[in-house]
Amino acid sequence: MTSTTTFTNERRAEIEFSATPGGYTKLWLVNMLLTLATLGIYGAWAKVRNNQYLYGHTRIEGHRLQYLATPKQILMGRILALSVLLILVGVSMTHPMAAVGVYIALIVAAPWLIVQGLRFTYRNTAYRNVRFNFKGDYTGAFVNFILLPVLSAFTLFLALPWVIKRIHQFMFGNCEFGGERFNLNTSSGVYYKAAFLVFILNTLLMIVIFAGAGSSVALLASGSDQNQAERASQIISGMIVPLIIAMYAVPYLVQAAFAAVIRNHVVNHLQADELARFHSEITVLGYMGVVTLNAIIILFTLGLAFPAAKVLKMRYLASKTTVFVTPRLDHMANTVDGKESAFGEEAAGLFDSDLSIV
Amino acid sequence: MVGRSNIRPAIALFRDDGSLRVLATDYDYELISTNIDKCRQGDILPGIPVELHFPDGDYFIPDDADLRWKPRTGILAYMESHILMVLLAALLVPTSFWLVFTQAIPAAARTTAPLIPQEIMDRVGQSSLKSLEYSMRPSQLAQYRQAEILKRWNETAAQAGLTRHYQIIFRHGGQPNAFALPDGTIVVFDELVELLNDDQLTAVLFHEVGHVDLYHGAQMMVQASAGAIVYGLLLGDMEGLSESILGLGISLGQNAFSRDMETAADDFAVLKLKATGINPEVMASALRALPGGEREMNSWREYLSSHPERAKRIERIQKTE
Repeated sequence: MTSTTTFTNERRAEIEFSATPGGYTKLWLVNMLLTLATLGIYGAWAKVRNNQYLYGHTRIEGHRLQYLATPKQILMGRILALSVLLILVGVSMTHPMAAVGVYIALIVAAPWLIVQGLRFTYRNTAYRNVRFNFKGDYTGAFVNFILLPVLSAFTLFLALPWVIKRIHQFMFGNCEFGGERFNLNTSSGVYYKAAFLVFILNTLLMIVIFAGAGSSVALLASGSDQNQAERASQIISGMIVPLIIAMYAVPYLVQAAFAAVIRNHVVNHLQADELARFHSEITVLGYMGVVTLNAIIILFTLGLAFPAAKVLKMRYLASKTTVFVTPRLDHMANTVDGKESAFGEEAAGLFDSDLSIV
Repeated sequence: MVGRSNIRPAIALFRDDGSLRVLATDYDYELISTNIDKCRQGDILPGIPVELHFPDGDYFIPDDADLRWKPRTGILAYMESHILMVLLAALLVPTSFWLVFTQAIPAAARTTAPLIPQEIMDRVGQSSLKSLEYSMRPSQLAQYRQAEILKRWNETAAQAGLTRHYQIIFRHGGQPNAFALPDGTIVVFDELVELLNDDQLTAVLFHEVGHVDLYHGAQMMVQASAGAIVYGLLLGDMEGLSESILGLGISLGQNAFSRDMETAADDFAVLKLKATGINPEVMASALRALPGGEREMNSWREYLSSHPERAKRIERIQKTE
């Protein structure tokens, strides 16, 4: 489903992504080394440089995206987040019964952290000197990230696609650029279709894997000159490898399929009236191909190929995305500053719950 | 332009004395006249043109990504492109991670674990017991039997020179097992008492005491927390599959430490058995008596387990005799 609105005097803006897997790997590796050498303190500078590279190599109509966060902001955010984490760990270790209170405090704080984190990322992203902004609030975050997901459990998770739609709506539909609000008009139907596709794919993959495991087990167990214990352990070994593959690979692939369908839908329906609209034409197979290749190279390099994989994925996504803009873009004024605290974003990273936007 | 999305095509002209003029190329008039010393050079990143920031906030983006405005070389950009530096990084980064998670953090945990105030560990122990009580039932052992075991334990403990008071409590747990809590409480299941003889039971008790005496509980706590924090700090920005792989690697590492601790507890038990005049062979026979020992493990499956392979443990004990 593509959006059929066009704006007056709109022009097509090509997206060029010039980062190279080799180039980014070199930068990422050296920065990681410096981070380790400084016991993590340089990590704030590393994060800024990594993002500056990726943003700076993303051009729309020849103008580069800008990442404007400063290392100091990120460092402050991390120090604050680390202090809070240590206090929480200390409290729950010395007063184990207070653990309940800690969990409640985390649930109450989570929406605020999410909004803070999104605001920080949006506000420190700029195009042609004009920063983006995030207008979501605490209530929205609480409802969409906590209340609804919990309630969806009562519907046996049948409401989950709808909840995901609402989460995306919150994350991307509250975007502002130079004071101009973006709208996101997604349909629940597409989310449900994608979920159904995922379900079918998941079932098919599981059948294939267990059929494969079953036949290999049958082959192994057919040897009549083995004693029972050996045969039993071979059957178990025969099942374990497919099980491990199934546990890790299948959700990964299935998630990629879902993401591909939804990404097109979200991007195609994101627009700021008479200013900009987007078009995405990634294919499920194409996206799954990139994602699978990435998984293989990351696996074989024990994670070192992560920067290369990131560039490959971004390159694919950029090649299938276009922007349509109007002349209004050439006369916009910046409406937000970058003085946002990085606490929310860094706390999310520390608690390992960050959201990736791209 | 500062604060606005307006862009003007322009060229920048320099003179040797440092004065700088920026001329608009579309209408051929001067936009800015200043001196290079008043301007700030932007960040240098490989493949990206370097911005020149003027005092009033506007900035100039050159077409040439290799142009540098000021003689100060970008050390970082140099390092990031210099192949030797990159190879060094490719080698040192995984090595450092390995060292941090397998040597540095455990060593730090080992040294700080004994320093944790005993009151805290006592509270952790009591809290754990409270939550565990839900899965255990009261002991079905006869009172006299429990008293017998306690009496024997107190005598043996004194003989072994144990430095703390270890209190034994009995429960019905559904399988032969025993475990020690950081506050010195040792929980023994009825099934274990019924399975082992007196000396074998003593051996198992010494093993559990070893865990407490060697601060294993505290060490695990510190290690897990420190590991999670360091992981969040260093690798917090990684996403997706890389996270899963590294997380898997780290939990396999934790299992390795758990196995080391089991071995250390075995060694402790052998030591104390000898000190009380009991043949350490009873420890081996106790391990053999426990269910599940007949199944031979494949070597790779050991990586997934928190205890070393039973045969290896028995072998090690017998070597000390």
